[in-house]
Amino acid sequence: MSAEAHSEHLHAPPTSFYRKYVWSTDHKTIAKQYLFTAFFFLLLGGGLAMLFRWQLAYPNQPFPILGKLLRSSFVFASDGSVTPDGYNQLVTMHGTIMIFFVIIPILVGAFGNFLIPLHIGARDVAFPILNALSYWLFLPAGLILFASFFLREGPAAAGWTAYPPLSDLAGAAPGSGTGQVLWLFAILLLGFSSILGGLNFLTTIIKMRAPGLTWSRLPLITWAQFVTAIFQTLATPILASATVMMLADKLLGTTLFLPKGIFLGSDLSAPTTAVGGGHPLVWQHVFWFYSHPAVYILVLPGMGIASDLIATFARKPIFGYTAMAASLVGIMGLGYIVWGHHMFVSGMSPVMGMAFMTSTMLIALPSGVKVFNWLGTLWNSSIRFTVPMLHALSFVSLFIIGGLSGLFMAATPVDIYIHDTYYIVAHFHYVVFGGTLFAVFGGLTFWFPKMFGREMNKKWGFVHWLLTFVGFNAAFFPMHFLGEAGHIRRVATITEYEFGGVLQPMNVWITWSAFLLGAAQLIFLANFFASAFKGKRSEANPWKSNTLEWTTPSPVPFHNFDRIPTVYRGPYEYSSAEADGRGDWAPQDAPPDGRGHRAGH
Amino acid sequence: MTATAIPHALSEHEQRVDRAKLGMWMFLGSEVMFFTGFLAAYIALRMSDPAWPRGHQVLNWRLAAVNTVVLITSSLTMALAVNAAQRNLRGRLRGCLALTILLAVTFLVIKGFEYAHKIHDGHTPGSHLFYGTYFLLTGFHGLHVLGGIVALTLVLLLSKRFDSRWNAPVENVGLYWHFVDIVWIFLFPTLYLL
Amino acid sequence: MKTPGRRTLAAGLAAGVSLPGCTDMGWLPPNINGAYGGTIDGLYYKIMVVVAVAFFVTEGLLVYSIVRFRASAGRKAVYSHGSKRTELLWSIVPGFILIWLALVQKDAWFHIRSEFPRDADALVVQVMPEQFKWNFRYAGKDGKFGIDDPDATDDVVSRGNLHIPVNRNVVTRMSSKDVIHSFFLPYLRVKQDVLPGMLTRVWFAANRIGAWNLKTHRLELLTPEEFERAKVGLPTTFARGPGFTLRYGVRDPATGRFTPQDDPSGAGKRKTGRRDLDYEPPRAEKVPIARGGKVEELPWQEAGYVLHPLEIACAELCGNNHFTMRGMLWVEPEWLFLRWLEGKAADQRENGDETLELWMNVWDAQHRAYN
Ligand code: HEA
Ligand code: HEA
Ligand code: CUA
Ligand SMILES: [Cu+2]
Repeated sequence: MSAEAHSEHLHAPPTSFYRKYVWSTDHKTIAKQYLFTAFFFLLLGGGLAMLFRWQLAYPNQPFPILGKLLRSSFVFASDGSVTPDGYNQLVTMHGTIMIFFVIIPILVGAFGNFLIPLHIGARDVAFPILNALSYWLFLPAGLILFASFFLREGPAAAGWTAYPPLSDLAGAAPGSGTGQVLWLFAILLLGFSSILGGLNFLTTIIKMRAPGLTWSRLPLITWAQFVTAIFQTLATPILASATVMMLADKLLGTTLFLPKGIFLGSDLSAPTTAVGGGHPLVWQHVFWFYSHPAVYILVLPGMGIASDLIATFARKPIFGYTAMAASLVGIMGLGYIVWGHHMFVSGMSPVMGMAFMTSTMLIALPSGVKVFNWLGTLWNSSIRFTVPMLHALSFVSLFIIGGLSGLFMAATPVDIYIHDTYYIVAHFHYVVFGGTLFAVFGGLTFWFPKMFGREMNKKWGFVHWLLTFVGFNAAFFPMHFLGEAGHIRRVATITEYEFGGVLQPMNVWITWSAFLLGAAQLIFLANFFASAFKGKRSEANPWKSNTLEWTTPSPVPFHNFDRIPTVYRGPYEYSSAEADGRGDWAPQDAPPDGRGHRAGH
Repeated sequence: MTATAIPHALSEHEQRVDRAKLGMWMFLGSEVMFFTGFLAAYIALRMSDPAWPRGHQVLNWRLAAVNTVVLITSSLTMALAVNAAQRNLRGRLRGCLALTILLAVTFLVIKGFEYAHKIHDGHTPGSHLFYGTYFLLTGFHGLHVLGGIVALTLVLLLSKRFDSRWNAPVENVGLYWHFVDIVWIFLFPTLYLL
Repeated sequence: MKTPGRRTLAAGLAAGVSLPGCTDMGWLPPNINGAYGGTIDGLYYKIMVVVAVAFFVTEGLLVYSIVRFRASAGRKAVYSHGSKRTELLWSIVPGFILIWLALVQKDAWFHIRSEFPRDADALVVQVMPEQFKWNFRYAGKDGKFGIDDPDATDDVVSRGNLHIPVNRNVVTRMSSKDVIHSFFLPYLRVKQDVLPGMLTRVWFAANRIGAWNLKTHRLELLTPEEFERAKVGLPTTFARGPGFTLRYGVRDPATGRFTPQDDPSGAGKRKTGRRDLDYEPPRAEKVPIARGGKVEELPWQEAGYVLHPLEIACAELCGNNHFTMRGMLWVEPEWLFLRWLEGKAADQRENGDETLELWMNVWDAQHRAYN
């Protein structure tokens, strides 16, 4: 094999600013481009949440400072409080930004790009130019969405799910005109970017694994990225077709989602939709056929990250590797046939409701296998409580909560009551923030040395984790109670309702917890950038980890590996007899003769 | 665990061909899903309206049939082009590519006449849901044909570079073109006949 | 670093899960759906038990492992790739539990969604929401709606207020005038989206009557018998004349004093974070009071309760004022319901109703089939 490695010709690293930072085809640079863009959107999306949380706690009270500064513009009324349309726009953009422009780009764009080639021992992804193109489709998508804030009527306001006819008829809500059109274009562009990314990763993982890196030796994060990439390639086009159809409705005048005889406003002389013939439920089916798989796009890489972190810091092989990989595939398979659980009260036929309930219950099975196997990994291990590990353990504990609340909603009769209440809001923040975002923080701290050649500050890392863990639970756990009490979601204030009166103190508590949570994220960002420039220099393998990325220096050089490594064993050979006497780890590329163990460069 | 035998590595060149082809198949997979979204919506809408017009009564199926023949022929010329590339027959490669492009343009021109006629008769995308789906599905197929023309032209312009060793772009455009053809073979009976 | 990390993780976990409802809001709100409300709550608690077991087992093991298997001098992880037996066990057991969990929902689900009472055995109400109001229509004596009804004028329409008799099956036939809304009755565990161009239906039966206790200043849910034994004043909105007036405001938890506030989402909330309500005594000496099956004019001081509506919420985002789309659900004894229906019909004959045209233009003209 070595003859092969030497015969390949390597390009020299680019030197011009443009090729180095702008149109770079290096997967590591593209990963950072995604990461920093997503950070920006995290601040934006989180900031929007701070605004609407204020309105929920103190309805129609002026927002401090910002509300006064921006009065009568953005989402504010003349007294600096949030207007009703403003509220809907905030929630819609919060959901859209967090899912499409924060979590997916970080998990797939940043982690996928950075880690896949390193984990499989490749110099780059299969199609580097396509890779750059995906980022340069993603960024304009984000800018288009961002631009919609500056429209006079404001951005889209029909929820991140954009149900027609509300989203489809320009007259139905202030944001349903140009704002919604920009929203659709942004999602469409993002979809193309996602598809290109997905097929790139699939090809990379299938075709470019280092010699000896069989499927059963892949790190679980790579397995997770593989399954995620299948979702991206084969589910995202459905979203693209849905957005195209709605764009056709809005721009070409078709009526795919508009039934006949809708009357908007008080004019009863002629219907707003005279032609009609379309059906709003078609959108819901098509949207959820994509968006349910999409929520697994949001969590599978997080599960992969948690697996890697737990094995490393428990110093123990993953319990049941095969089951861990199989359950990812199982989640994918089932993930395609459960979308109807978002539509139990939509008017779908009861028989279909029954079918979707059963498939949804079953999807808890592979998820449960994952949870149990993480617990099995921790059993009889030797746990090191580093900052990444704290995040990984939080991931497990919070994902359990979020997953279990999903079972209530999967039960059709119970979902009748809790659908569209804060119970749902609690559920998905537990899986998405409690799950994924914790995994992201853990992963960033873990792989930070590989990105910047430095370590993240431990003390501030710990403070951030602590405040986030406390703030998160304080903010989102009580939402279960609100949901049970009937607090509907997407309402600017629940005190319009008499039954909402007693819920209001809880809203105040949640809001202040959310502020704590938001402030904690600023600590993370400060720590991140300070450490990137000033942090302690890191060795090649600071965590004593096995996978291939730790065999190359920190930060990773332009071509990743001097020589393409050869892999001799699975990724989680910690504390094995083989490693005995030389520490407790056995790098994947160390020859098995017992002498090849390297502590790094 | 011990190392299993290291699989024989492909040459760098073979790897490139391999990846390009795999990538193309994945792309086509996602294209299939894209059209699946449209078709699923179409079927759902059609089934919920008992008075849905019959394609052969309102659409010009004769023109569409001609177009079907045009596209199938273009698939044939495309296959010949790929074959020519593999056999290093550059002249024939160029000829076949040019012919394919010509047929593709013919398809679009015929389609253009069809559209013009419909719009002239007042059948716009907004006039009836039937026409909405008709314009959407055929329009998107048309856009794919247009994309194909661009890709084919690029391959034609770069045809100097292809030989029996390196012809992945020709093959890939070929795959794509057959896909566009197959989509039409689905659309034609669905829209124009049933 | 090691020790505080572990401790806070354990403490945080404990705090996170035991965070109590720190207010006087309850667990599930009252449930007055006599038809199947109890079934839904029962299933909820059934799942709660299963989930609680799964929760305590998994989180317990997690916390135990965190404490027990922390790295320490001389501690070495046990090298193991797992055990097929254990894995099989923890796949099969939850698998059966989950399938069982789906199956126990089945009967309730089909009961709720498919086993509608026959129209003849139920009160049928048409519901047509619009941005941001609820419209209701009752058939006249002939039981027929709209233009297929030879005597269309006997239909009774109502905006914002849904009156239903207690302990009787109610079927709502719903279609939206504009965008998607969702018909949500929290106390009845009813929720169903209402779409334009399509008919959806739900059924339910209320077994309690909402009444405001004038002594304790709280909403009570009376059984029909309790209702008949009590003296229940009628609010102005119901009596269409002098009666008790509902006011929103703030009650000082310490002194119990109620200060009305006219701004519906008023100031002062900043301090207490909540909104209370109460009834203001009427100006007139005598007001209508329901007692023992009929309404009498009595001095207002005699009333122990005021008839109080429950709420209808819109649970689907439907535009900028979605959050204000609140309707009133009046549960009444049969006789009081009939009295209201007749009164409304008479009023309609005399004064007409602004929503009659709406029903004719939108529902009857577009969706005749829904009658
Ligand atoms: C990361 C994202 C993510 C993940 C992983 C999940 C996971 C699950 N979700 Fe969630 N979901 C969302 C994101 C996610 N969801 C979002 C964003 C929405 C709202 C969209 C909107 O309307 O805006 C939503 C909404 C949503 C609904 C619709 C509710 C409604 O609108 O009425 C439902 C209903 O069934 C549901 C169910 C589930 C289930 C059963 C799982 C399962 O996969 C969970 C499985 C995991 C476990 C169960 C825990 C671990 C298992 C064990 C410990 C085993 C032992 C357990 C037993 C034997 C009981 N989700
Ligand atoms: C995918 C990820 C994700 C993440 C990470 C979050 C994070 C947060 N979300 Fe989430 N949320 C969604 C996805 C997400 N959300 C979705 C999909 C919806 C549904 C939308 C819909 O209904 O259509 C939703 C809806 C939603 C609601 C329901 C609104 C409603 O229905 O009316 C609420 C309410 O509290 C909420 C709160 C929060 C809070 C407090 C955070 C916090 O975690 C945020 C923490 C803050 C930061 C990370 C940034 C820190 C920045 C600053 C502190 C700067 C402050 C600056 C200024 C104030 C100028 N979100
Ligand atoms: Cu109507 Cu919300
Ligand atoms: Cu889902």
